[in-house]
Amino acid sequence: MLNLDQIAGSPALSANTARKWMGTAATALVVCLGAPTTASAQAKTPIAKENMVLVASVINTTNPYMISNIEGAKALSAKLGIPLEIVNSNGSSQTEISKIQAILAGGKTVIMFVNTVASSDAPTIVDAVKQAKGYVTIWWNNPAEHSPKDVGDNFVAYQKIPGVLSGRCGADAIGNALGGKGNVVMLPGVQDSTTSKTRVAGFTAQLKEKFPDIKILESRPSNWDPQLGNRNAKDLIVKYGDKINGVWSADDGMQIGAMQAFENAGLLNKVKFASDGLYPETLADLKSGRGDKAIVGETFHRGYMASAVGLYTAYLTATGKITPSELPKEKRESLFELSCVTPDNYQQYTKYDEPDAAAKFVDAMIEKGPWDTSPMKLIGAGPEEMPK
Amino acid sequence: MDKRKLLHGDWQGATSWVVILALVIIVFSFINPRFASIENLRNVLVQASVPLMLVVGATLVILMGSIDLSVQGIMGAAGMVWILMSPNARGGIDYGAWAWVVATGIGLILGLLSGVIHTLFRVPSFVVTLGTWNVGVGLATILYGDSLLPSLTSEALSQWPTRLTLGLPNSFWLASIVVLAGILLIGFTQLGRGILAIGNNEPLAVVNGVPVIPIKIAAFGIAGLLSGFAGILATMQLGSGAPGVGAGQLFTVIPAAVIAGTALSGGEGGMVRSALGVFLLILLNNGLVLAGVDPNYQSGVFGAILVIAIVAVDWPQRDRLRVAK
Amino acid sequence: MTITIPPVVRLTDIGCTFGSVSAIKSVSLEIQRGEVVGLVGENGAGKSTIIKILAGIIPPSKGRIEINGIICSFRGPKDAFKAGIGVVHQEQSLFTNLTVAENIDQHRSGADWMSRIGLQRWSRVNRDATAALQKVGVKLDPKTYVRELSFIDRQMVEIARAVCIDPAVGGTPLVVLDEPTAILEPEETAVLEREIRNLKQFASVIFISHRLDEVLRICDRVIVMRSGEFILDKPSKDVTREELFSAMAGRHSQESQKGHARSPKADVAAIEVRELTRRGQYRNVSFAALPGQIVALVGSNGSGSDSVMRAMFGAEPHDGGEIKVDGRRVAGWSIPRAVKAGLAYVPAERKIEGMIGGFSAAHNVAMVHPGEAAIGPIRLPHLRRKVAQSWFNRLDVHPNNVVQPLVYFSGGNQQKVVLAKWLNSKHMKVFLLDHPLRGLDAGASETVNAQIRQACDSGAAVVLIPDTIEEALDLADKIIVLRDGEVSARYDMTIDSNLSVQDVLEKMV
Repeated sequence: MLNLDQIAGSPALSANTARKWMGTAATALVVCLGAPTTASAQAKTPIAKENMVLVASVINTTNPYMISNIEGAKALSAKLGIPLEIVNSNGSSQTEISKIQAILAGGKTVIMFVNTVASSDAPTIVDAVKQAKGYVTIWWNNPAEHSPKDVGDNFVAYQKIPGVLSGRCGADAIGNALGGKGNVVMLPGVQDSTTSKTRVAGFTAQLKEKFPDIKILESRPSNWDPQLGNRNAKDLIVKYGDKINGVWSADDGMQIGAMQAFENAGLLNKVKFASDGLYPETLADLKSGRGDKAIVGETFHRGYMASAVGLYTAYLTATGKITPSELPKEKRESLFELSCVTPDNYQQYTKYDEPDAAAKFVDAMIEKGPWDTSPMKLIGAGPEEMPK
Repeated sequence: MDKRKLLHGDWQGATSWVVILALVIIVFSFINPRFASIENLRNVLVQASVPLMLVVGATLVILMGSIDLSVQGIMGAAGMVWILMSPNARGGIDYGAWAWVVATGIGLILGLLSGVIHTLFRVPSFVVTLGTWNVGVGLATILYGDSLLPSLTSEALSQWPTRLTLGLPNSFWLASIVVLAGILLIGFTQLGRGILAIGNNEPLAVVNGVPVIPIKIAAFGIAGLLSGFAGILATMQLGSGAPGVGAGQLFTVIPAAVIAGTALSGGEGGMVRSALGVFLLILLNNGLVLAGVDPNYQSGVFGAILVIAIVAVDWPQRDRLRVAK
Repeated sequence: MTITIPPVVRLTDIGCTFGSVSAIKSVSLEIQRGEVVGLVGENGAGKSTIIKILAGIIPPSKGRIEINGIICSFRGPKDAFKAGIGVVHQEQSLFTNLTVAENIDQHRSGADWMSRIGLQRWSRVNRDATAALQKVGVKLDPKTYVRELSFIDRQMVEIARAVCIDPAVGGTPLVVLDEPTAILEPEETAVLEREIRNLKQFASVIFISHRLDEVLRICDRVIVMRSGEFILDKPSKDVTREELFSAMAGRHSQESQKGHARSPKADVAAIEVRELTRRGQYRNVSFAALPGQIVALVGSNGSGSDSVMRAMFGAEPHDGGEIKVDGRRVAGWSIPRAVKAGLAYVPAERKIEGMIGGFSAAHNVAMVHPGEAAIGPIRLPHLRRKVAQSWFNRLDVHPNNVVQPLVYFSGGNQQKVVLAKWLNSKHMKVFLLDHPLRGLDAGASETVNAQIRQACDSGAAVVLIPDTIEEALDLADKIIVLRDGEVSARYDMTIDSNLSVQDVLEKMV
């Protein structure tokens, strides 16, 4: 049995314990997460719906997470009755920025969610949106010093799911499965990506703190690429053979490649895997108990939730229902909840992959506001703090 | 027939390559004895098989003085087609051998398309294949859609590439057959000799009645077919379909061919040398992992060793580099 | 009953027009078996068009072609080849990355069952090629790659290909040699001449050259072309060099006075090399050129003469010895310094090294020494055009269009522009000329030679690598013969005035 309670070592609420790690325990409980405040709306003239356009910018359109981002944007667009444009960056900052600029030139009020290719893109994009008097929420990658409150209301919020948490989930899962002893290898994503770095930091810190007898043999950045994960895993198998007891990957894509390598080497039954994202395939493996129940830990969060929340926050700003400058810090630099998934509790999450899950989430979100929709509630304020 | 003499052009400099490869192996074995283990060499062979298949097609095209950038796109499209027609997690019908035929057929068609547009509409191959690359990615993305990741449910298929036959992995056997076919194609067919002639002097080939346009289209077709084939193999190795299954291959394959002495201007080079180039790149990558080089330094070390290796290979020829003569 | 053997070639009333321009007006020609016919004419006279028609590259607009008595209409080069016409083009037309045998076999695809299904049958290809090489009497391994061959060997391969006729046709082959000697060294030309005499035994030959002496020596009959017409057709023994020249150019040759009356303008050598050595290329080469003197460096391909010249211009390094300019030893010699010191270099590979083809002629002229085309660092286009125009007028460049890209000019006119590039500076001290007349017709050669002499008269020193030994004897004050990288003989033309071609040739090989 593995869950957040164990991670924190106390039977508290999961959202609460998470906040402790974030170093934001002092932050008062966010009480009024209900309907958005409308008090400050009168200052603005509301913009008519036909003059608005929703924009969701994603890194590519092949990664399951990105596809899910698009799904959420579509669901919100259908719900609000506002047209949607998708920006496919094709993995390139240049493409991303130029496509966004083209859309901004279209003249409508832009309500934007950007899953940035690189942190350094964010200031450029935010500036452009500000010039065009649009509203943007940045997800995942944003420079630490680029704070929404310094830019103004056009930069509505920077939102993310804490990577440190994800890494800690994985470390606990593997640590418990191995009984606190053994050797693991790590497959981080793109080496200098913030997301990968925070996940790696969480994983290593948690091992050090809680499972000091587990040794990290090696770490091979695999660029979020299943093929590269596969290749690196092959090399690591040759190098360490059956010394490897556990594999942690920064996302499921790389884990899928790595598991195949271990399966082909006939080692899948002897190794435990943990990763992030609970991709449909991973879920299927978890259900079937592939290998000898090889997957021991996952994290759950969905792209459609990120895009829906991001877009909706911007939408509320555009329609004058909220005024970002009057919001508390955690609503502008937000950390959202992440769920640790184990072979025992995965059933709780399958409902979020039903065909109408995105629409349901959007319905719930519009009812409760962007910060209080299960299973991705606001849990604290950024910037994310790295463990020592 | 004197084959040694015939392959002479291809083998030129191949000896220095073999020496360099041997040196790489020796040095890495000293750092980590596991490097030279049978297990690792098999691992290297498995990893080399996809780029080996690709480098055959790439060499054919580069020998003509053209370039084929569509490799990764075609791999993605063919891989997706193949897995959706094979036993996979999304269900659907298992078409067996037809999956292979249709998937490589897609590669062939995309390749031929590049060839036809390049020759008949006189569009530079760089541009055309950039287009077919994206067409391939697009096709793969559409097939991928937004439903479940199609993973291979047949263990027989997903394990086939790494399973051993006569001590060597199946995927390497497959790649060897392709490389051998490539060597024979260049050495013993009029298509191959025509490709060399076009690469050497295209206007002259036209005047000499070499069927330039059909040869070019055929070469692009073969390259597309092989990319499709490689896409299937890569998908099998990965055990699941992904539009980005070929990610990074283009920049393994083209540098491999070029550092092995295949001139981008055409006419010079050959299959044997390109294959050795692939091995150098794969061995270096593998060796650096086994040597435990810090990931932060790996790119730099990789580049430095590569430059040293190339200088060493070209050392005997340095004097020939005169002023434009 | 008598059997009349038809002529190998009979052209009747052949004409060829491109748009409104008629390249060939109306020519008729018969060549008998075993005959060697010389075809001469200035560039643009229509020689190339005739050859292209015979080679099946372009169809004639009118007229009839009969080969060995059969009326032919070629749809492409392959047809011409099948009919028995082999052309050795001016530019070498071999695939350097293929073997000798393959090149010889180039036109013969479909010659056996394997090739009909797309396979290369090396045994047959090599056998046929060996036969063809034997026929022309050349000892070459058919499996060698062409890139490893010397120029003369490549020429031999081209000739072997030209005579490698399909045995099914069986007639007498016609071999067309389009300026085969243009890039050959003198002793290689001798080999070629012997080869042509050998060819006469089983083939007919059309021989095209700008070197009239050579044509008269080799051919049985000479045809002169001018403006798309045959204006002279006589047996070689009935015609003189001067007669050919005036028929070609429509004017008399001015090349009567030889220039040995020149005297050095100073005692200090404008350029001198002492014990110049580069390992593997040349050893201990010493000579000097005084202002106003022409020194010819004569040697076969591989003698090192071109490397010596490139070293003098700073284009190649040397291992030992020294170079002196104006009596002062130079150190750290490089091309920019050589140019600054007043040296000019006309390379043999004009198209690669001598010019920038995509630039206009005017740009090329003003490239190194802008002269009056520049005011300080600023280059002015209209002045550049003016400067170029004055050179066009002086050197009689055609077409008279200074803004046309240089690549579209004919070889002779390109060479005039290359020369003008250097002549544009008034302070040139030394001209280094590597095969300056290569590929030039007689008229253009005369213009170029006149410029060389004039530069000499105005005090420049000239070092020349000539195309032919005759050229050296005509022009030079001193001749330095190089053999295998060493000086094998020196002649001072004021003393050795009776020097013959044969004497020099002996020292070369």
